[in-house]
Amino acid sequence: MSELAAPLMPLALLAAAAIGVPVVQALLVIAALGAAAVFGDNFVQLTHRAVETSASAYALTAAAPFALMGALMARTAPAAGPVGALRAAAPPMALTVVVASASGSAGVGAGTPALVAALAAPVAILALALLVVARVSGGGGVGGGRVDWPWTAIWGGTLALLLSGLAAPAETGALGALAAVGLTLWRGRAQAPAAPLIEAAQATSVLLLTLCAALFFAGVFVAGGGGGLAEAVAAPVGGPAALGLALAAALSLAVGRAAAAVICVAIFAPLVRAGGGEAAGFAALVLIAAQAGPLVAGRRPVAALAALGAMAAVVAAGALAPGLTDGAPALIAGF
Amino acid sequence: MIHRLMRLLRPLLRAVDAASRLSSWAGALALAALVCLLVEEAAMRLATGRGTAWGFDLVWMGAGAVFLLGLGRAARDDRFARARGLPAWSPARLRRIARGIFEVFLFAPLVGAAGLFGWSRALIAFQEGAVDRISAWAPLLWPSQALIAAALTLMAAQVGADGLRRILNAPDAPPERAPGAESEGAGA
Repeated sequence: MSELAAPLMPLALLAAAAIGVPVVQALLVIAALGAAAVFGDNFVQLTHRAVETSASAYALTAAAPFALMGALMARTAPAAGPVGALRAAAPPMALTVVVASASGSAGVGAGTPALVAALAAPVAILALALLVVARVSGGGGVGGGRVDWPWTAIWGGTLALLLSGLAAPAETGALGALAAVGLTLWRGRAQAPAAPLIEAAQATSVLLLTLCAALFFAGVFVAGGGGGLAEAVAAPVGGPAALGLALAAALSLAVGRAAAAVICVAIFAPLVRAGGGEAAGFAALVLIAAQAGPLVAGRRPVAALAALGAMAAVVAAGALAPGLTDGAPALIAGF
Repeated sequence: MIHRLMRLLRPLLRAVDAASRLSSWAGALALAALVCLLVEEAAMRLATGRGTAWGFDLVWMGAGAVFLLGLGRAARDDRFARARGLPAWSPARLRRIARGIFEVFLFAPLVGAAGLFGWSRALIAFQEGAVDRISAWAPLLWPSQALIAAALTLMAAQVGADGLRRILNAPDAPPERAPGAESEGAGA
């Protein structure tokens, strides 16, 4: 039975997704049932331990302040124009920080080169988006053609502090959140100050439970012999990195960007690391792939083709780059 | 028959909703406290070159509280990402029932059992007065373990209640968000 568990897990996930069950619920239930088959009858304790580990992981504390920054930004920044591009770039940046932080690539004065590589991708997306949208929108629409300097300064300052290594990612996020609260109050948008807090608390819950469920699923899958299976399936398409990136792009259309990124990083990062790659760099590439996926659907042909090209470049880089940390900035340069 | 069952269950289901709402507010307060703690910790490090003895523990406890206390309300508001599911031409009622059956008979019992296990661990930690031996501050373990148990129990109750509403086609069933939709202000 245990040797059947790993191949059955992805199939069960697909079946659960097909009936519209939330991905996190499906991941938890399938991981628990898989654990029963692989480890014995202690799956309830394993489920509890998975939640307990996520709840007590210091490395994940960056999620909450960055979620608060995002929630406050959604209240004060317009959705169109370069400000909207900045707003759209905020979640992937925040997710990269959390993933880099959780993978041990970020810390106070440590691991800065890996973090630089991990952040290069979303920062480049942000800069590119600002440039393109500022040129295209040319002053039309709400906030069109105008750069929101206070928000740009807050995000720029936060990233600069993060990369300097003077403060931990969570502390940096908290300082950014405090600045964001100040900006929100200054702009007179404090009519309902509790709403962004509740929204950010919910976003943190969603992200961390998804991360916890994905890691639990990945752990049971690999322990049940799924690692070998994934490598065998990935070999014809260029290795685990390429398969993970392609899957991130495809999954993002079905389950959303954040869930797709978290699931693919959790399942494929250990395989990429085992093959000599670097988890933070791989996470950055997964985030680009997950961002590019939704760009393809429902867009004009030119935009869809550009997004498809970007996705192909990301997948090719995942397959070809020997050290993904070095590969990420090089890929961005060619984006 | 179904109407009578719903009438009997309604006070219980509303109590679960209220508990989730309250828990979500507590999570928001924990987030505000966490941000203050982190800023204080960063300031202490810049001023004195090292953080406080208790800062590390309080920060992970605060982040854990934010994570756990928001779970019930996030489930109620259907914030967890899901796939497109059954084809759009399939009856909406069938989709709701399929999801409700999964939630009531698989997800809620699993999470509820994990919550019960958590309560037993918290009780043992309380009786033994167990402390975190890794930390220099050595905080008691039972409050954080009770929080994990309470959050899992509340999430199981909320998901079970919502699943039941879906199966019984109750008018107060949670709104279905578009598949793959993510909150604009999610931040992460």
